Amino acid sequence: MTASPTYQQRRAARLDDPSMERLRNPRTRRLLAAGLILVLVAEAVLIGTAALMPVWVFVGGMLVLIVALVVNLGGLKASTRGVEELPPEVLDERQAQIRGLVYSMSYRVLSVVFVITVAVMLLAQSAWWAAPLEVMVIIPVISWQLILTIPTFVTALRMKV
Amino acid sequence: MKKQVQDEQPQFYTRLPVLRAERGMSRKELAELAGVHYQTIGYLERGEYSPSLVLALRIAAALGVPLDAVFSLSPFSSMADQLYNTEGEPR
Repeated sequence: MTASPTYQQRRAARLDDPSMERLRNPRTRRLLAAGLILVLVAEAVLIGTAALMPVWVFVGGMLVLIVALVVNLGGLKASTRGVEELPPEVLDERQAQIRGLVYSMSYRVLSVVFVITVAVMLLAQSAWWAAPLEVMVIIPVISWQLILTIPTFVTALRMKV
Repeated sequence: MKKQVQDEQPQFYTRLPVLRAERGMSRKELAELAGVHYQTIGYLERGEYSPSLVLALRIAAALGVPLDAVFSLSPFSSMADQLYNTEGEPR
């Protein structure tokens, strides 16, 4: 009797879907990564200008951007076959090796993002800047999303997957 | 024969593409037998990835040959050299 595939095996199969082959080239990966950065920038602008617009415009805009983020990130993960996020038991030894490299590179990038985030937060609270509340929301929200997506960016832009 | 090159130093030589072609196996079929992703077979054939001992043994077993028929630290002689002597006579 064949054991039914586990949740992670099903995820691995979905991310390795042959119909996504058109996304698996350096140019498309760069485009998807740029698209994701654009979505994050648009989110920052929307949060920054929230006070100038009616609530429904802000909520609608955020919903559109969240959908764009999910679609873009899904495409980027499919383009890397999800090597950066799948657990080692569903990866072969070469993929597991790439995953290890991705995590060590992501750790370095993450350290830089963290230091910049803390520095900007401290500056924003200092007397000479007196940043508005929106800035104090934008910085952690965008940093958090960036941190979540760093391994995918690293895999898409630096690894042969 | 393909050779793995890292920092300009050859790491190993492989006869994997020839052996696979001889058996009429696709990369996917060999990958399933060896328990790896089909891309990994491509990387091995192009000499862009050094396999672990376990994977090398699994590949040799899937092809039904000894390990040293698939991977070697020194260059393999060509199939023609092995089948024919220098005068072109069958060995």
